[in-house]
Parts: sequence; structure tokens; C-alpha cells
Amino acid sequence: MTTEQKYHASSEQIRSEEAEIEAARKNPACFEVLYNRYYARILGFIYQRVASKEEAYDLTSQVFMNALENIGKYKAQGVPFSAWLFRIAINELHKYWRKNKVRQAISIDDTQVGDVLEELGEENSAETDSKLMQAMQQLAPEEIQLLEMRFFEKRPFKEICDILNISETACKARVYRLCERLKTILTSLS
Amino acid sequence: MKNYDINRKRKPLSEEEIAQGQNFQSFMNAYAARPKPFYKTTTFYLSAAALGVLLAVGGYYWSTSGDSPAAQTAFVQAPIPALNPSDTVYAVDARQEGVYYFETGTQLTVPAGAFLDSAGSAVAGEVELRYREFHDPAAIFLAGIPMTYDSAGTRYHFESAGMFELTAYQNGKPLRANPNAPIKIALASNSQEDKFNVYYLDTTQRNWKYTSRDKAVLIAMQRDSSVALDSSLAGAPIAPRQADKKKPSFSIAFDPAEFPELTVYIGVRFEVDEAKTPYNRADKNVDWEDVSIARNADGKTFSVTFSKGDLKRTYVTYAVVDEGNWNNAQKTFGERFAAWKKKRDDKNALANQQQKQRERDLATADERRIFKNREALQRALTLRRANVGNDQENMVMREFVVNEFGIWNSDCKSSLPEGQELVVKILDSRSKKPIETTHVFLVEKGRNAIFTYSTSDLRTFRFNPKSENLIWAITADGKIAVAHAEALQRIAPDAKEAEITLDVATTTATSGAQAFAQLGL
Repeated sequence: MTTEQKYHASSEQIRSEEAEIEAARKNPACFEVLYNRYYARILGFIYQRVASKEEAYDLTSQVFMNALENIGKYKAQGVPFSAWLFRIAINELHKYWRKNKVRQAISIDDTQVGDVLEELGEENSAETDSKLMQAMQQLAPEEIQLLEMRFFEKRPFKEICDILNISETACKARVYRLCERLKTILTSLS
Repeated sequence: MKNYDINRKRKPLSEEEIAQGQNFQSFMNAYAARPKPFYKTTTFYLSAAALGVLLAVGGYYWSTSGDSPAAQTAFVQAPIPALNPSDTVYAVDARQEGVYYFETGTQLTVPAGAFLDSAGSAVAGEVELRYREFHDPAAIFLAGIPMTYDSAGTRYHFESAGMFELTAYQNGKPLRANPNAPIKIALASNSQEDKFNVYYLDTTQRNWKYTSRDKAVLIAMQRDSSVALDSSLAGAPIAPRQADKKKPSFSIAFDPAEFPELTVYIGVRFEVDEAKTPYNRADKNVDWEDVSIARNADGKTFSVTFSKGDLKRTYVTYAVVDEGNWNNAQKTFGERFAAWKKKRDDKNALANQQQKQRERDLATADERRIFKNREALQRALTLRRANVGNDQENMVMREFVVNEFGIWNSDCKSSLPEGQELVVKILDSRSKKPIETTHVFLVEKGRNAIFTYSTSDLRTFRFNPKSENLIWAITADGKIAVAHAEALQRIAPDAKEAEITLDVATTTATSGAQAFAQLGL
């Protein structure tokens, strides 16, 4: 089943969300609108990166807890609220891996492997598949993060920039460097 | 070196699994109970108290405000208000349980205390329960119900197995559903597939909210509708009456097949009941041409009518036996009555047994849950037959527990049709100018789905060339515009862009039938 990644909000939607954030600042009960709108996305994001559902539920709850506690500090400035939540989620994940001394989980299916290999100009075979798995083990956490967001989750550059708080040029350069590094590792594994 | 645990077969979370963790009330409880920082001060406590007040007040307003009609019309907006499918209105006693039926066979079970006012208090007295159903793209389109669903940032399009809207009013004011006494809807669905989920249209969130898995319950349409027990049996022998020599009586030949209850007695006569029909002594001198006998409704008397030309005389009579045959008649009656009684009792016992078996047959767990008794099922089936005819083998019921008033839908998510993708321009077939509209709607005949494209989506317009497609739009002046199947069939299979011309109706539709015709259905 093909899906459409949506990262676009009309000015009317942005204004409407700003009003909802303002309401939640004044009255935490009003946070429900935002909680319900983004819960599934944040849970899905975290679930792909941890070992179990239970951990994902706990961390997602923590993300929204932090968001509500700090909602007074959130400044729109053209960055969607969702990107701010993903930033919190990334921070929580890093804290979780560090504190519990557990390895980061990466969830990937055959289609996503095929897409990455295609992007790298590699043939999709059992051999290259296996090499890609080995290559990923050599990547830095920041590179894995980029790989996941750009190639596994197929997020638009604009959204990745908003989440990582970097410019679009820097983001594209990082993705380019990531691909080059993966190609180099794959060659070395041959 | 292993830095990461790579999962290759992990499935995305299902909607049930997402819903399992998504509970704002629990979240707020945890938020309120979170550990407090060590630097607690009086100021902190005051702030917390203020927050508590805010929560209480905010919670109160949140819990009592409900969806204003304005909020609903903003998100669910009929494109042509005059063609918005109308409600069926039921007058409901709020304190009494009641079962109501919609023309499609749908059953609405309303418990006592199902309605709350805006302050959250139970409502008494008469309530106006308003109900309507949507089973085809045209009805959904004319009601202006959005059929797109955002889930985890991905936009899907709904395919529906049946949808309804339920609202309630008292003295013109909207009421809220009591979640502790929810109304149950057994929706008669046109789809027998078991791939759907139940969604509620959250007009505040402007999105559909997944609530549960849907279960299609099949009810066999071809059921024996006879349930009445036959407690009477024709031909019950009549107790003999001894003839009274002082009263007038006649000896008349009768058809034994017509009056079997009289054949048991020898020497039967018909004695006039002079209290009801005084006997005219002159009649015995008339040479009557014809005589007829009819059994009266009381089961005891017979009307005997004599006629000659225009002259007619009717007497109410009893069948009687003369003195000479009396003892014999009594004995015969005793024997015949015992035989008849046994036959009647046997027949009733068999009917009872069959009835109980029928009750057992109908009482599958699903049927017992949906229908309180056989009559309720029978009523739903009768309505369904009237609605769809007798050809349908099964009636499919989909169950909803309505804990909020509004629009409920049995849906499955689907993506845009697979097939050709291209950039399209939507033009008026007459003027050849672009049609001013915000959205166009793609409908595949045979699928109960509407694929919505905003004008910016038209750069990646996708449709299945193998399907019979229609495109609908509403012009700025409220007219229906349609591209029929041929318009899409004309597009070359390798085309990257195309102009699709829509026929704009020359008049604004004023009735549902007219709108259906204009929509190409």
C-alpha cells in the first residue's frame, strides 16, 4: 500500500494550532487537542527505536509530559508544533538509551532496505542486504537518525530540518555525506 | 561490533495498540502526580493551586461545552444545503427504555437515562432523537462528510460499510449522550466484508477517531415468520342440547363436510332461540324454495335462513337432539370431545416444541445480543426486505455503542487508487475555462468511497483506469459538475497531464433524485 507523507499546513491550520497551544498554556486541560492529534505519530516514532511496546508507551507519555511542562517555552517561529515534539522525543530517546545502557533499536523492512540500496545505486540482493546491515552497525547515532528519518520514514527535507533544527542546505549535505559513507563502507565490505 | 539491534520484521502498531496507550485522562492524572522538584516554595504551591483551579474550571467547561452546532457545521458542511439528507425524528421518552427502527432495518436501542443536558444532568421528558444513514457516495457527498483520515501523519481515504449520524434535542437545545447509558445501534449494512473499523467523527479535532474493531453479524434473511400458536382446532364437537318440545325446531339436511361437528349425533334438529329471533308461526305454512345454514361466531348457534323469491327469514338456532337420541348423543359427545381434545393438545404441544426450537435457532449469541426477542428480529427483517427486496440472503448488522452524539462510521482505510498518475486541469465542458472549486471528488462505481483532491493535489491526480470513474465538483454558484466515465477513459495511458472536462448542471438541483441524476448515478 502506498502512502502519502504529509508535511504541510495551511496558514489557517497554523493559526488554529497556535490558538490551541495558547489555550493549553492557560489551561492544561486544553492540551488534549494536541495530545490526541500527535499521540500516534510520536508513539510510532519512538516504537521504531526501542525494544518493546511498553517502553514506547512510557517514553511517549514522558514526551507529552515534558511538552506540557514546557509549553510556555515553545515559540512557534514557523516551526510546527509536531517538529518540537519530535525534538523532545529524540532527547528522551537519547536519555533512555544512555540511562538504561541499552542498544538503540532500528526497525526496517525489506522494502525500506530495497529503497536504500536503490538510493545508493546498489543491486538489491541477499548479499548487499546483509552488507547494508553490517554497514549500518558502523554508523554514528546521528547518521542512523538521518537514515531513519530520510530513507525509512521518508520524511521531507523540510520536516527533518525542523526536527533537527538545521538549515535545509546543511540537511541535504548531511544526507549526501551519509550516502557517500555508506557506499564507502559497502565497498570496503566487498 | 554491534551498536544497534536491527528488527527486520517489526509490524507498525495497530490502531488498537495505539488506542491502548492513548488516554488523556490517565495522562493528566500522571501529570498531576508527577514528582515535584526539591525547590518547592510557597510560590510553587500557590501556582499549583492556581493550576488546579484552572484545571477544574477548564475541565468543567471542557466537559460541559460539547460540540457547538457551529463547530459541526464548520467541519461537516453540505455543499448544497437544500440537498443535505434529512433526519428521521423519533420522539423518545428519556426515562423509558425503547427500541426504534429505521427504514433500512437498523435497530436503535435507547436505554432509560440515555440523555444528559449541557450541565451533565440526566434529562427527563420527551426527547427528539434525530437519525440519518449514509450508504452510498452520493449521500455522503451531499451531506458534506469528510472522508479523509489522518493517522500518524499519513492521509488515508475511507471506504465505508455504512455510516450514520445520531443527535438529540430537547426544546431545541442539543443534548449529550450519557456514556453510562449508551444508545446501541445495530446498523443494517450493505457490505458483508469483515475488514472495517468503527470511527467517530471528532469535529473538534477535525479528524476521525478510531474507536474499535467492527464486527459484521450475519442474520439470515429467509426466516419462517409464523410464530403464532394454533390454540383452536376447527371441527370441535358441540355439546348436545336436548330438544325442548315447546320450542319450534326444524329438521334440515346439511352437508356433513361443512358441519362435521353435527355429524356425530343422530336426529339433529335446529331449535329456534326465540329470545333472539321470535318465531313467526305463519312461516311453517310457507313452501320455502331454499334453506341455508351458517355457523355463528359464538361457536354454539347456527343461523338458518329460509328463502322464497324476495322473502327471507332467518332464525338463530341451536342444534338439538330429541329425547330418543339423547343418551346416545351424550355418550358420543364424550368420546368425540376426548378425541378432539387429545388431537388439539398434541398439536399445541408440537407447535410449542417447534416454537421453542425456532427460538433456539434464532438465538445465536450475536442475535441475542442485538435483538431482545424474535419479534424485534422479525421487524428488522421485514424492514430490510422492504428496503432491499427478498434477493439478499443475509442481513448484515454492524454494532455501535454511541457514547457521543455525532457521526459514526464503519470504515476501512485505503490509499488513493493505484494506477495512472498525472497532472490534471478541471475545465467546464462548455466554456473550456477552469472550474472555480476548492475540491474535486473521485468516485469509483461499485466502491463506497470518495477520494478527495484539493486543487493543489491535482498535480498528482491518481485514478484506476480499469474502474468506472466519476469526478464530482460543486461550482462557486452551487451547481453540480460531473465528469463521466468516458472523460477519464479518453486519457491516454501514458499521459503525464490531461484536461478533464466536467459537465456543469444547467440548474441547481432541488431534490435528492435530481441531484442523483446530475451526479451520474
